[in-house]
Amino acid sequence: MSFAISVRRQDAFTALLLTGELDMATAPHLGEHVDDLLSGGHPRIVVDLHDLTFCDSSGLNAFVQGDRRCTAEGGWLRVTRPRGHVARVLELSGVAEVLAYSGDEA
Amino acid sequence: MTDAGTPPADPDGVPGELIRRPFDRSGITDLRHAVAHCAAAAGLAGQALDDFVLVVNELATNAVRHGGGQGRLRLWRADGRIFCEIADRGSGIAAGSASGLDRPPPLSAGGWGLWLAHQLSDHLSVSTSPGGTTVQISAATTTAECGAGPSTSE
Repeated sequence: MSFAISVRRQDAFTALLLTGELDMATAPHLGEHVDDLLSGGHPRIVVDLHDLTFCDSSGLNAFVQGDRRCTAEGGWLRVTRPRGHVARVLELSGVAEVLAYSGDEA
Repeated sequence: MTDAGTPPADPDGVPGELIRRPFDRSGITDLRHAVAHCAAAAGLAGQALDDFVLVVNELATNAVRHGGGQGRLRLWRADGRIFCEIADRGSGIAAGSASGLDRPPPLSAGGWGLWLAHQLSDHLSVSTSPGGTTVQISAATTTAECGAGPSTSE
């Protein structure tokens, strides 16, 4: 298994901890988790990327589309703790600027 | 593995060939790992290696998504460089579609793949027609050795 997601409920948001590689094959799993949280009434999501070792355009799309769906439900999706090449892709694309978790989210 | 039997002989085959294989959606991750293995053995390292592998991944993803669901990849080394060619038999890139040269807006869904490929490769050429699209990239390497990759041909 090259990819896993674990869910950690917190007071202000739900954390999704991603492990492994996010690509065309695995990005749909992230979308499914976001949908599950939204249907459970949890539209504030922080995606922890500390243990993510690869992220491509499919991953970027999953973050952006996830944030759109959360916004439509009155929440947001943010990303935090990217490392190495994952951080490089997020910064190059500009997605880090708009989706980085700041702690100030309403 | 997605190899469908022995690939036909190709007159374009070169002595430094490292990988030649077809791929589809289910084989993208394995393909990326095989390319990373061979590119590392060929001397790419650090950010240059990660960038090369991401570009190959984006081009293969485009082939699956827009090029008829599958493609063919060839990886070889020559003249101190490592080359990768990804070909599909889709309907080609329509005139007027995104060139991949302009960065998509940060909150756009889609359009990242070709942009990242241009951004992270120091050489990229695209040949497209109604019969399919072929993209070739290359990067300078530091050594000329490559151990037997998981999918070297012959």
